[in-house]
Amino acid sequence: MQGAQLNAYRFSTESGNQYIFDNVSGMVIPCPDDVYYLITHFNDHEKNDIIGELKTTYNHKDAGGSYGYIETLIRNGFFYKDPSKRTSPVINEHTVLHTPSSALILIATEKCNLRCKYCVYSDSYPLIKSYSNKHMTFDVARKAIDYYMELHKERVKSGFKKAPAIVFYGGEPLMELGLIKQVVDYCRAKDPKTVFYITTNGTLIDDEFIRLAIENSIMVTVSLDGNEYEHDRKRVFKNGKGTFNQIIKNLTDFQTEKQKQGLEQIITFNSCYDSFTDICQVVDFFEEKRDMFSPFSVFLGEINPFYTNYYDDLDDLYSRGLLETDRNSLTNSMSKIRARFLDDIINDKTPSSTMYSIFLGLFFLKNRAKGIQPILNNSCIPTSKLSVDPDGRFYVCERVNQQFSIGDIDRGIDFDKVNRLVNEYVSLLHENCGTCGFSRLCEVCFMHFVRDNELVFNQEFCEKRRTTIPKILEMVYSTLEANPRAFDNLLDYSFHEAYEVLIK
Amino acid sequence: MNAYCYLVDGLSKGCIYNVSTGDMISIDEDKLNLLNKCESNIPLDRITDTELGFLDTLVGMSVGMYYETPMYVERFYVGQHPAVEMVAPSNYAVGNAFIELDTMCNFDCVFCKEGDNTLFRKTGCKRWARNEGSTIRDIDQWKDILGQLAKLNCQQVTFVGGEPFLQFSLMEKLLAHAKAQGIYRVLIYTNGSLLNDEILECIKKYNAELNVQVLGSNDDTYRKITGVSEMHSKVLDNVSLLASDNVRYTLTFLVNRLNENEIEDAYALYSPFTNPNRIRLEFLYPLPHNDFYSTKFLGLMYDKTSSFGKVDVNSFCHHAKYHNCYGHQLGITAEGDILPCIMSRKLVLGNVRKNDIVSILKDSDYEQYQKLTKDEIDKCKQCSYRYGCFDCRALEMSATDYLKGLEYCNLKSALRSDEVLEDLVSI
Repeated sequence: MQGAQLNAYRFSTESGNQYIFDNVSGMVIPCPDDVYYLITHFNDHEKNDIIGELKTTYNHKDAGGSYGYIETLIRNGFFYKDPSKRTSPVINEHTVLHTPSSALILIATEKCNLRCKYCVYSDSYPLIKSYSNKHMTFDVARKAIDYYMELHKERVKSGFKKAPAIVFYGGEPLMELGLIKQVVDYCRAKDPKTVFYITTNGTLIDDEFIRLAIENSIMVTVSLDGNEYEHDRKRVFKNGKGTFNQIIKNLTDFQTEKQKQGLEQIITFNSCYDSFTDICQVVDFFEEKRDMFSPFSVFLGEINPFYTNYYDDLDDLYSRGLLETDRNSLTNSMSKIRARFLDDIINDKTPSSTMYSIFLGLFFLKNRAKGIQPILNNSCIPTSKLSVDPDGRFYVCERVNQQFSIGDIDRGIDFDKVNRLVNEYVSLLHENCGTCGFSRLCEVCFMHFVRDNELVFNQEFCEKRRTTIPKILEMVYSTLEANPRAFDNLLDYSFHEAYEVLIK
Repeated sequence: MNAYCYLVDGLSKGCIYNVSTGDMISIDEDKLNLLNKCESNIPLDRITDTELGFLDTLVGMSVGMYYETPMYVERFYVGQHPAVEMVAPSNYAVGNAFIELDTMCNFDCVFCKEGDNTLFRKTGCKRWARNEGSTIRDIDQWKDILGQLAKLNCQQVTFVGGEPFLQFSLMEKLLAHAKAQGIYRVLIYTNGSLLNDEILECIKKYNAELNVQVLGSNDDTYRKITGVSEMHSKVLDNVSLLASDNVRYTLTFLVNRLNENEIEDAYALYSPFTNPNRIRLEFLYPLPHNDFYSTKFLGLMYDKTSSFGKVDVNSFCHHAKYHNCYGHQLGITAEGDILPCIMSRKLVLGNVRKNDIVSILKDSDYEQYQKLTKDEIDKCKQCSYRYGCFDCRALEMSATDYLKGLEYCNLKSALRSDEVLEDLVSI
């Protein structure tokens, strides 16, 4: 226990009950004052002194029993860890074959027919390079696929269960429909079980794509931010005109065709919100469209507030009277919808899937993995997702696709580069998160540290998580006190399908 | 209840599994209902003195605590939550691979006729029927199999037979290959009669562990059973060599009608140099009908409580999700058949000569067998002890001729509420 420090976080629920989140094991246990005293004094006080204190100060009747309970936990590795000891994960040929996921993401083009206000290529994100006219040739795509398919085959021999997955990403990938068709044919010939995903802005969905998507069961994700006002204030054509009506028209065609053919092919939506969003209206929009969209799922995500002037621009628009909502809209509407959601699950009612998707984080916290942590905590292992840009360079993910190339289609994965990136990342975690009492609940990954061609610890993100995670802990455990089975009703089929998309 | 205690429902009884101490605590239906209420945070408006006394007892046993206001106490578990695992399945991994190099044996045991596939024992040797010429002798083929297993994160190979040391030269090469592939743990089932200096050196070199099957306490009994003379003396000498060479080994007394009165003698002979914890009894069982099982030990064969192990958090979580054997192991027969257990000969998943192991796992019922927990076994699914007892599916299937059958359990009546297990901590 020499050098070991407490690595846990104590929190209270609404009722005033206290718990402790053990960052070492991932467990939460009830932690009234006497238990907390025991845990915090265990390593530097004698047993008899602790038991004596429990009896006198805390009026504890079974001090010996409680001591034994905590002793068992601590001896089994709970609560304490030595922050000076750091892990040095090495990504090698073996690691690459035993990843929990496997996908190739093709950045089909860097072109886009829209100019969304919060796009990372827009002027709102000055540190990230702008739009380009680069697009992927089939030759580049073919080489990337050949490389990935071989890698996937080896993964399968090493026990990976799922089919190869190809994701089309952009820019707007449907600006390269010809390439997409070639890729689909090529992959089908290589492995007929290949599954395809596409993330599109929806404005270019036409009959040709609809045929292709249906024939090949492509999992389509459309960026749709909610009702017309909410969507069109953010997602616009180059000429500034809103894209909502065009997307709805296209989606109507797509969904009608699927329904005509009796297909249960799921569609998913990426829906982004900012502080001016009325989230209740967004939820209502998707629920009102249920008949048309079903089966569907929605992923709601906050527009990245880091290293951007997007939110300053919003304030400016508001001051000029150009926004219908105010900057408290999100906070106010979120409290309302949260109350609705929690009320539903506490009373064993299944909330609407749209509402649920907002609070997916609660479900994941409740059902988090426990025991030994994965080597990079919640970040994916580089190469499990292999993102390829139009020039044929490999990146760890579609969101970290301009810096930190980790190889290319001609030379394959460059393990030196991968490990340099991993070491840099792990060093940042070690320096900044080593003593955090709930770091294993933080979803930090490479994406959050990328800045101007180097990895930099994201203080703003950290502060935000330090505020949010305790609130989520409080919310989840307050809910569970009211109904221990509150989250059990949320395991429906559509969630599984949707989750599969999420973890692609 | 405290975080390390699980409450498991049965038809008319419940069982508390304390994974911190390993205890299983049997409780009747009323107490089960009371605890279920507590676990659901339903306020106890009216509570009788008896009920309060019961709760006090649990608190005294460090099983639970009183709280002033409703608390949520989540259970210990390790790994990914089942809800998440459903959509993000973990990769195939073979913890332990049983490799049968040959079914030939230098013994000719009366209860193990060559080529007779009737099974009435748990995992061990067996002279299974074989097709002439189909035994894999090609070292490269075995190396390829080991290579495939290593990719599946295989941690241990277990050699079984027949008598595996009859194929010592093949085994020696495979041990070297396994080690080169990163498989470091080796277990060898043997009758203990063939050990010599060369074999002992090899066992030590690869740090292999042996499971030696003992058949009696004198040469006469051994001769009656195996048809070979002076084998008791040989096996006893060899085991003492293992002990003096510090080789790790376990002894299994295979109890049958011919040696049922010698168990204590055999124990006396072996225990001076063998850790008593590493001596265990196995049996020949009565079904399918045979004349070799010991009537004297019939009670033990049906005594499920003797198979109850100390339940820790890992074993509890594993048993709730996977079969205790099929969940993490594979058997590969001398002819290349892949089985979920080397003794489950009817559950052939495929053959390594025709397909690679991963394709076989993928295209067969492997995952169904892997997840054949006691929740799936007809007579076990309503028994509250189902996560604490060991299930030998090969044996049960052979006795009942049914994948989900159960013969060897005296707790079938545990489904009735009027029985309370005495061997468990009972309240």
